[in-house]
Amino acid sequence: MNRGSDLKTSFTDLHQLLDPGGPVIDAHVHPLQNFGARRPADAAEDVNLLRGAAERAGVTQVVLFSLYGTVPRNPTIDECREANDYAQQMAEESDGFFLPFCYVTPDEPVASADEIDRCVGEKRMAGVKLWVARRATDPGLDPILERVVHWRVPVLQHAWRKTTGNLEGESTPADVADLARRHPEAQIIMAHLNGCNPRGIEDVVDVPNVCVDTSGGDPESGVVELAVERLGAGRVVFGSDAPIRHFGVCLAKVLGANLPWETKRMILWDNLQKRLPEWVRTEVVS
Amino acid sequence: MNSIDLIDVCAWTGDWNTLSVDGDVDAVRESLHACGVGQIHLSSLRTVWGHNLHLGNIDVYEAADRFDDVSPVPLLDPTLATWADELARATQRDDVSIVRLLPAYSGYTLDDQRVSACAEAVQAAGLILSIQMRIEDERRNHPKARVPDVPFDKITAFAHQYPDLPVVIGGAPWRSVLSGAGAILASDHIYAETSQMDGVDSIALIIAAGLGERLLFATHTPLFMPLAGVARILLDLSAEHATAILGGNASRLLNRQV
Repeated sequence: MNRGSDLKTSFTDLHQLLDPGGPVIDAHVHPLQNFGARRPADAAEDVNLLRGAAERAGVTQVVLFSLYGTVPRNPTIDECREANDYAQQMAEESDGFFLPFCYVTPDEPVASADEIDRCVGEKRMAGVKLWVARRATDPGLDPILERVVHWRVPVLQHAWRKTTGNLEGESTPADVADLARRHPEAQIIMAHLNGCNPRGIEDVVDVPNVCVDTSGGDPESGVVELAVERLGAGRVVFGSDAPIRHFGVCLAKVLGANLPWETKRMILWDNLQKRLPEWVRTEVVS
Repeated sequence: MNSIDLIDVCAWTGDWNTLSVDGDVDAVRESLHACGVGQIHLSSLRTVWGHNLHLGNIDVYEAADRFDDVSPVPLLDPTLATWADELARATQRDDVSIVRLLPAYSGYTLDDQRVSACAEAVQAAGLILSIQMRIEDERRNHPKARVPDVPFDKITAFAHQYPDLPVVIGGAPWRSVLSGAGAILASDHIYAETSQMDGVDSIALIIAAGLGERLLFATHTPLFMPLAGVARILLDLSAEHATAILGGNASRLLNRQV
């Protein structure tokens, strides 16, 4: 028997529920070239398709980092350079919609420091992205973090707590906390709130230079609220990990959270804007 | 205003081992109503980790007795000696359309003869069988409570054995559905719900593969946030496809002539 209530809704009503009510900056996005279900022919098509998907969800600005086209497990510095050139090209073709971060590998710390100087110092990229070549406890990251501090840009560090086992070199939240304590002047964005899970949140509670992005995993109930409760509203930034994840699904984690509207606006815009370098920062609106 | 009816084919009541969620029936209904959902097909989480899966079904029967917008989806474990009695209990009610199996949590595989007997009985009763591929991403399991996914191809192969039994694949990731589109399209009685389909353009690609009429809206509330379940359908699809997936396809399935 088909039961149901008299509850009626409309597309307009549903779209209003998903309206972020202001600008949204996404701290964690990859080109479609890396992970997209649709693979673009070139950077221009990547811009059009990825930007279109973001804007349909209400995302107005995107931090972008390429992990190189084939997403190698251990990228060389040459592959990082090529990835950064691709991200830079997307940024230039998007009128500022995409803010590129410089992707570097802790396997080559000295060359990575030089690449940060090229990308951030010369090209004015907005930050640095580290992946899983070495855990964040490894001293190989230190020359990279020194350049991050020198240029006063944020660094996004991958983190997960996988019950199935992390990859070799893949950092846990505790590793990120160790990195942050070694470099207290660095602004570190710990990726994948849902992947870090409620246990991982505790690892960074007393490390104030770490904020967490809301990406990673399914849109589980209560996790964004928990992060705000434990870390404070100022240490949570919106991130989607698109195109692996859907912009709108991830945005709904924040919009649907049981939090004051002012807190949601902080997560969606203010908190990351405050951490960006002045050459890309937009006036805080909330 | 063009009104649309949202039918959620997979919501839950109860708590979960790795998440602290508000799974009270009233809270679940409230959260779904806030997203426009008017018909809720509800199962109980309470005994998923227990020794007798059937004990939690009373929760959804009581909820359905209280609220017209709740349809109970009793959980069946064919390895329990009394599964036929539990199915009979479901068929005696006029508000049960779907029954659900949780093979990975109950600890059996779909090639177990007891599952075949159960499927035949569900088919004879004119009900829809939902087979849950996953409730939770294995990477997020508690380390002392690991539950691997049921292989997608095992579910479609099982479904092909019962051409008159509508089968809803629950909790499948989008890549599994897209790569298994041919197996779904090979028969007209297999469906997939959308609660764990993520990724940019994922559902659009699944529709392009011909599965637009086989997708059923589901939120996985309260484990997942219901607004996320709406977003993945509403933002990328045409009004025609969104209307079908949010409720039209489910309405047609639930109101089919048995």
